[in-house]
Amino acid sequence: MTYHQATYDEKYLNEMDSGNSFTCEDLKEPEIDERLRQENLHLPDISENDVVRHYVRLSQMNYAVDTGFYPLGSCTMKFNPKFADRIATDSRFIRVHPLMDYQYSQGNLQVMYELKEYLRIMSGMDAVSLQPLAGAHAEFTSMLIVRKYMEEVGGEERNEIIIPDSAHGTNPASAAMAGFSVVEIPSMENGVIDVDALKEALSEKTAAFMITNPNTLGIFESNIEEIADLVHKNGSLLYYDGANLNAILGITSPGAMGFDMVHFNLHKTFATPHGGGGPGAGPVAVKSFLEKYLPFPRIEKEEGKYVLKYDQEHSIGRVAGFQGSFVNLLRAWAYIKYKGSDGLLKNTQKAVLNANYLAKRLEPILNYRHEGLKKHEVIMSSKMVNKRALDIAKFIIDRGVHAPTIYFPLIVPEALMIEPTEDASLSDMDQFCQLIQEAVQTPDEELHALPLHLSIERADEVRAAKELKLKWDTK
Amino acid sequence: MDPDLKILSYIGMNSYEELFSDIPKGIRCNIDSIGKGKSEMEVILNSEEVGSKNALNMKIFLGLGAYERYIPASIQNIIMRNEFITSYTPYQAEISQGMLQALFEYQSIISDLTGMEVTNSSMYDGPSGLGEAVRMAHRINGNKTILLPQNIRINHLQVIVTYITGLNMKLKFYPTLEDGTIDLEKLTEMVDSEVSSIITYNPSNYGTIDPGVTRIREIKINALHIAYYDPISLALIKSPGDYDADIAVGEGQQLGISLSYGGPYLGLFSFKEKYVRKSPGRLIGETVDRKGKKAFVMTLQTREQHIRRDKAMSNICTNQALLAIASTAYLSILGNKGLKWVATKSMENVNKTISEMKKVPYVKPYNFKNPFFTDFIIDVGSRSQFMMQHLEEKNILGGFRAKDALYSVDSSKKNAVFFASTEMRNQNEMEYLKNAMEVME
Repeated sequence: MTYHQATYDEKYLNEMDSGNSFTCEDLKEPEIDERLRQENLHLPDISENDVVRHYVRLSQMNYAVDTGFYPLGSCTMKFNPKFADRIATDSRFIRVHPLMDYQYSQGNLQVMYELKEYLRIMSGMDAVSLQPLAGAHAEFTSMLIVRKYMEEVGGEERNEIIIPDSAHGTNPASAAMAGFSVVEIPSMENGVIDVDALKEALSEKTAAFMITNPNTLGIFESNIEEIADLVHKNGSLLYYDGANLNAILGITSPGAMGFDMVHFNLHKTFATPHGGGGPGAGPVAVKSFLEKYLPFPRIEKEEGKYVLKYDQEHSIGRVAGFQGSFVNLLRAWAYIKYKGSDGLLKNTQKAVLNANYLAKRLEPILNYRHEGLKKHEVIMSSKMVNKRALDIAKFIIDRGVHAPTIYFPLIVPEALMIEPTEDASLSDMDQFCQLIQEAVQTPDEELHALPLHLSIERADEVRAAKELKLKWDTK
Repeated sequence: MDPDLKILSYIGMNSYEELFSDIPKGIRCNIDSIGKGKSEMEVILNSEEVGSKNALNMKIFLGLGAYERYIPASIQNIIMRNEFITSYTPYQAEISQGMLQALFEYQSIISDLTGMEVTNSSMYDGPSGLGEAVRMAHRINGNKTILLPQNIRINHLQVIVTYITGLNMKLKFYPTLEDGTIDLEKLTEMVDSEVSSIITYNPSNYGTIDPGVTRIREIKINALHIAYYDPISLALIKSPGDYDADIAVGEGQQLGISLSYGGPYLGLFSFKEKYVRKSPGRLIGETVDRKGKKAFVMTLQTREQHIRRDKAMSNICTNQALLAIASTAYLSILGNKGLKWVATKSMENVNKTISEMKKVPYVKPYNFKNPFFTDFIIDVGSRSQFMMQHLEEKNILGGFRAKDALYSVDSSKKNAVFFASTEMRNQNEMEYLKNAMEVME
């Protein structure tokens, strides 16, 4: 396949000189204390035409799910249905001020309440907060819940969180942010939790064990019940990082597996668009004994009306200025209604089917032995074929397909983390495997010269960090 | 042949069930109770019905952190570009230059607007930005006392308190003057070498413009000055950089983002360059490609969670990238002239609204030296308790009681209520508001 990404030498907005085209009346200058009067405003003065063109051009230099296959592992780049865009821009929902009383925002509260119910059922938990604004924000929220719970049940000395070495980086970062020490335990050679290492790490100082299942290698931890039992017998809590929930949704649930708390990444499992990095939304669900610690306000239903409750007595507090990332919640609500229990189960089945297909197809190409069943994603290593994962990634993007996540999980050398999602077609996957095959057969020196067909060639990251330039020159 | 069956047979399986044989039978679940899927049409029709349960004709005379401002049509068109909205964090720089340049320009335009040296590529919202700012100040100077105004917005305070859990930090509230601005004399007495950060608001939490913020540099000793600002106001009043703030935080919702019932919004987060290695969040840097052509990458990632793990400067992964683009497009389309107009018109509308309200016998406007910007308070006597409720029944949002919105108010504000007037409000609406207030018993 030949591919050429659009290439523009696109100037900065403040380097254009088309002049301001915004129409407005002339007004009298207001009286401002002279110590405070602003005399140096430096915004660009350009036409709306130029602004629109600028962004259309930039967009053409940006790869997206709607451009092509995007098997970025752990990020779950599935199709974002367009009807959700229509709902997310409907003024009935979005022209609502966050301080409008409940009587006047019943529609939005209904959306939130119903979503909360869906998430509660799907996670096998008892209570849900929709307030956290992203997955990592939800992890921080959850770690504060662990902390508060331990304080109230006399477990203040429990200041450690155990995390496997295969975990997402946000896990240890969130635990540390909530004031915990992180104890990292090694995984078994095949990537699953080393139960003996866990036993050794568990102590009277352990507040919680934080894991995702399937783990970041895409393998289901089949002895999860034993793990849950060990953790609970130790007086600790078990936390589910919901980044990989899309692998098991409808088959099992964090609640059924014995977890006490879980977060959701709505942009992963429920197809809200990632927006080039955000906004996201990260609801948290807990078992009933932790409900009182959830952030306030909480949405409840009383006498047929949806209301916000501000009870703060045991709550960890507020993590956001208002009620949460409402528009993302709205999109997820619409997606769940559209898919329903049957569609969501089908998603899970197809996502897992596709990952296992890729595992089997890629095994001979990369000489990488994979053990047993995969769930939603597959980890390969290019070490056996003496290739750098980075070089393979650059080969793939040069051919107009997004690369897998590389060098993660950290425990696999030259890791390629591939997540096809349920929306990959057979031909998407076959083309991807073909590209990997070609990359493996391409001499290193040729790979090092890639990419050649994108808007730039290989970017100098070292220089970016050494000669820090974080803004344009002010005009 | 059904492609799924083809794949199943390729991997040597006969059914989907075999794909899940690693999940023990004892922990299976079903989610039937959420109901079967619906057609797109049914979902759309249902959503319209649910959305119609919100009050749809509310005249919005309230701000307190969320403002109805006019959003040029181009903004939505730009952020709905498939290539932007359906992309991920730009991990592969070469295929994602569009998003990277757009975010670099966001960092640039917010730095220019605030007069600050560095702006990160966004935080979740204004209040959580404040939470990150006090943590950052603590990382920099190791001190434990945070000074904040006694009239701080209650939701801001609540977020800050949550964000410092576990750091053993101490909050001390400094007094504010009658018009809500900083009591510099008292604040000066409270600053010593143990203070980690001083949070100021401009406009103040009563909505007035506060010249006092320019004096913090003289009194801060070892503390970092965290300036919370209203980005629209910077068209008319000095920026945090002008008065040498160390960290500047703002809520970017007003820059082209809809009210959306509280989110997603946009945390604007800027700081002095010397603090960059202690800063939270993502940064986009300009560099070159191997041919020397201008290029953009995510940089200083060694501060971040995916590299530094439990030693990271923050746990930020997802941020508000798409909304950062919206705000850059907004500021570019309005330009210097347009932003000045929005700010000036807002101040003018505040005055006009107050003039209308003055005609109501029980309304007592405050006579402050410093002018209101967008939010403002008025005294409505004993009616303050039911003002908001009364007006909502008349399709007006406004009249939020000051003592419910703020951590504490001075005694002359116990009957104060909040309103706001942006460039979107007009004379008819103001008269309608006055009439609605007049008929309140």
